[in-house]
Amino acid sequence: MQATLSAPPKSLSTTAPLITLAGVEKVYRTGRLSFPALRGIDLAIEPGEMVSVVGPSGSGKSTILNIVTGIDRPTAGTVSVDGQRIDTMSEEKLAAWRGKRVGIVFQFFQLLPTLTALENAVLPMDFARLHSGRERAERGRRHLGLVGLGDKLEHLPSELSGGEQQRVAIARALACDPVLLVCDEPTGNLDSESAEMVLSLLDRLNRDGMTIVYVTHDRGLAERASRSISIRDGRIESDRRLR
Amino acid sequence: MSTLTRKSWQDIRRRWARSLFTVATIASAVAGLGLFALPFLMDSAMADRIDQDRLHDIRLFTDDLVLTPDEAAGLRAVPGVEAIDFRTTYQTRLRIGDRREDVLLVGVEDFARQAVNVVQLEQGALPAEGEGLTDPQNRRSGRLRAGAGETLQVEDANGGLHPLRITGAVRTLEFSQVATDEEVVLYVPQSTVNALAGAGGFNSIDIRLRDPESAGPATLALQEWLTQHHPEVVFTNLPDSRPTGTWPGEEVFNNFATLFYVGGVLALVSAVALISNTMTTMVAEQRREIAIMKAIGGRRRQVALSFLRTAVMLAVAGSLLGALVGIPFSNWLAGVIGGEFLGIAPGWGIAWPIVIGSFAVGLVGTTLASIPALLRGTAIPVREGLQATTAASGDGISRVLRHVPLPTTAGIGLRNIARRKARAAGTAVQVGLAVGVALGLLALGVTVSSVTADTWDTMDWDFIVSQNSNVPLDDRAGEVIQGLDGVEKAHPILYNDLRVDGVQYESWGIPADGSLYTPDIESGRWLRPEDGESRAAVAVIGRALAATSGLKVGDILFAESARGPVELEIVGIDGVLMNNATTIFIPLSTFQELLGRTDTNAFWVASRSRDEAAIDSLAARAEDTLGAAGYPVSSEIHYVEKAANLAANNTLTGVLAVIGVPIVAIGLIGLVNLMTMNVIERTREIGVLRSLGARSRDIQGIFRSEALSVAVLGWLLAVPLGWIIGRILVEVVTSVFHFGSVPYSFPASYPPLALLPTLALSWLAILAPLRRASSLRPGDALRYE
Repeated sequence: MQATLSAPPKSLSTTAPLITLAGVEKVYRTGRLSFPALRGIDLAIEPGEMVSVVGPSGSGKSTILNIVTGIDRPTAGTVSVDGQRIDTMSEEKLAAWRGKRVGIVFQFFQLLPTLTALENAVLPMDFARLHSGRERAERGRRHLGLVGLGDKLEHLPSELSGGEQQRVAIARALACDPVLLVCDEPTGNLDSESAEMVLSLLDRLNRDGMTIVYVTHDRGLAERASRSISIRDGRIESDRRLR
Repeated sequence: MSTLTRKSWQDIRRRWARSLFTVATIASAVAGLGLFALPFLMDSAMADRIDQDRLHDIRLFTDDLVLTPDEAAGLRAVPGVEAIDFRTTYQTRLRIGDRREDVLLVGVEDFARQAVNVVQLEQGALPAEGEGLTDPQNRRSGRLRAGAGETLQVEDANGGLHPLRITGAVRTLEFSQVATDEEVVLYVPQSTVNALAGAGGFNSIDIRLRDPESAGPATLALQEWLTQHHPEVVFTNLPDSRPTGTWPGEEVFNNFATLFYVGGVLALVSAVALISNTMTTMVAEQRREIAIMKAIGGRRRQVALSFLRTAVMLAVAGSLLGALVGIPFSNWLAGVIGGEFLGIAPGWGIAWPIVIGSFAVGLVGTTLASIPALLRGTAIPVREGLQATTAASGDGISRVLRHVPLPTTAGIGLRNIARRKARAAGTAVQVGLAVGVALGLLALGVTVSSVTADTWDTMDWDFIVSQNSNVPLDDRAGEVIQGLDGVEKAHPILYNDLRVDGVQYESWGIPADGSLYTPDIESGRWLRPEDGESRAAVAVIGRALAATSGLKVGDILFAESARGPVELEIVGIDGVLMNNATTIFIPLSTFQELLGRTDTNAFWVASRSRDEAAIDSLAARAEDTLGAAGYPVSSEIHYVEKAANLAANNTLTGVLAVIGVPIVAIGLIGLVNLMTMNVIERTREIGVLRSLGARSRDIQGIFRSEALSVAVLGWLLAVPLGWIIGRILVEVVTSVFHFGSVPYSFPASYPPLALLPTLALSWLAILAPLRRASSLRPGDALRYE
């Protein structure tokens, strides 16, 4: 069955899209083998949207996230985020841009094991050289309070549950007031209770105006977003507005 | 090939950078064992050289002796003699501009037909009358740089100057060491030497025997023949008998070989620590794979064996490479030692027992060093092994570090070190050993220099004038010297050798009120004026000689002199390290009587002025005045000789520093290894950091702080280690040379001075791993398995 590209949903506002992918392709090469992860993606995401990207394993959904955050570069096509062509930026500029404008939440949390919850939460501000030392600590405490971990500031990741670690990761992602929050399988490693806590948190952030894009293989989870993009074999299969 | 064997091979191929480092680590450790090859190489080189040079078994020294052809043939026919060459050796002076340089002219009767102590041309052309060959050691020692085509001015017995043109270069086992240690050596036609020396015959008879074991009886037979046919013959010094199987300088070399063995052991210890650390890291990096294999049914023994197979493959490659690299390393070292101290250029050699042995040690050592890591690694529970990263512990160090205000990158780096304590400690030990060895060698050098300077300072003369011809120095010569303006004191001294228990020792006939020498009497007493007045058969001996021969105050010293056996009562033991504390001091009049002479061969002279220029001028005037009075002499100036001695010690320390080369290399490789493994292990973490906005300099800052903190830890360890290693080296040197106790110098300035090079070298060592860390693309890093 050939995948069909649904017409993208109409923009909710007259502002420019926050994220624009045009004709994006991505081919991974390992030795003699090459694997086309994305085969011509056209996508626009408006500010304030909460978008889920859903698809089976190997469909290319995580690759889209990597392209949008500049972690990977497209083999072809253009990528604009927050008015910047990130596909042409140098690695150094990308790192600096990413730290200030994008918050990333990984599936396996990826907290630095030797840093406490508070230190993990302020780390992006340290890299971005934003705010004074005291302000960074204050902001970090505030973000951890926001995710319900105000009483676990000095805990190491090994002393936190999976759900708590993921919430620390969210607090870290919010450190520099990013315009975009990107989550790769944010509840993939959590029990249902922790997963619900994390999803509620994302809902709240989105209601506060944060643009959120998250990847999931769980269709039920995908329906929690305001818009769901289904991807298969590197192509967009459908693009539905849910609410 | 089984799957597990294939896995072992694939593990090496997939992680080729890591494998390369591990092989390099093992190779440098094994190459360091090449130090043990030195004695084999030198023995082999010397054996070849002895054959080539047809080195003497006996040398007899006489005054100017003229033999008819029949008499020469008669001497050659003495039973046991295989070959004899006659020559004159003449000590005189070269004039090089305004400088006067001592030179030994070695006469060769017929360059085309030599039978003993052969002078073989290496470069240029054979000399004719009025020409000569230089020894390459002249240039190496810095005393004479002249080469083929240049003309020197040589003094004859009357002080007149004669041109001597250099036509080429030659090296000899017997005389090149003189050029290394003492004076310029030139090889000249016999007729030219005799013309300069005012001699008519020979003063050196070089003999090869059919059976070198019969040297003792043969020497007696030859001396007897000479005395019978020439009753007037004077033997001017003890015969030089070369014990069978030995070579010139062997004793000194063997003493230093002990130090090389110490260095080899240190290199081995350092290497074992490094290999163990490397294998621990390798296994730790594969803990997930180990857990997966156990999870799917692999037994611990099977899993361990698969990794052991990898370790053995790496061990074979590294040990083979190291054994092969050890060959040029040991040959280079043999060349340095041969050239610097023994005056030979050893050819290429391979000490197969050492090559095979070092390969075996590398193979077995690496395998054994891997076993603890494998046992630990395969004991980790499956669940723990399958976790993505190692959990950080909230242990003391980490907790303390959390409260230390540091830049973010430095804080992350230091806490990572605290997380990998064992690995960091292992690397710190290697760096500590490397820097510690350097400090220890420096301490040895300072101690040796300090002792050398102190020894020179026991002698209060400013220059020595020594007999430079067959004309001895008598009372009249003493009056001439004493009469020179600027001379404060002049003491006659008789230098000669005595043989004790088969070993030759320098002996001084010294005025009993010898205030120009300050002994350090450890037991008994110094010589007294009444000893000289009564010609008492007494002696004071150096403490090293006392230790080796087991003599003490009150014992009788039985010795062989040029005139026959002597017996001297030991009245004192001197602690000064003169001639390595082996000098025999005898009242001058006693020594003269024992040797059947009334003259001396040297004077110690103290100048009224301490100014170096005044001393130089006085020494030159002494030479000229005595020469004009019929006493050709040469002079040695105290401050010049002291400086040359100290410089020679520095060369020695420099050669010993070569011991440190493999150890320092291992230390640096260990640091590079650690950092490379840290980067590889935390590739995903680097990807996360880049995702969070970390720039290249942030990534580099983290890893740089890890490396430099390990380097500082290593330096902290190096200070006490360096003190201990230096102490051990000094103890080895003093015990080998029987010096007794020697004040140990470990300058307080050295440890802080060592910090900067430690940090600088560590900085250089980590450049490559840092570049890798900062150049990783975040996407590739996050996907790294």
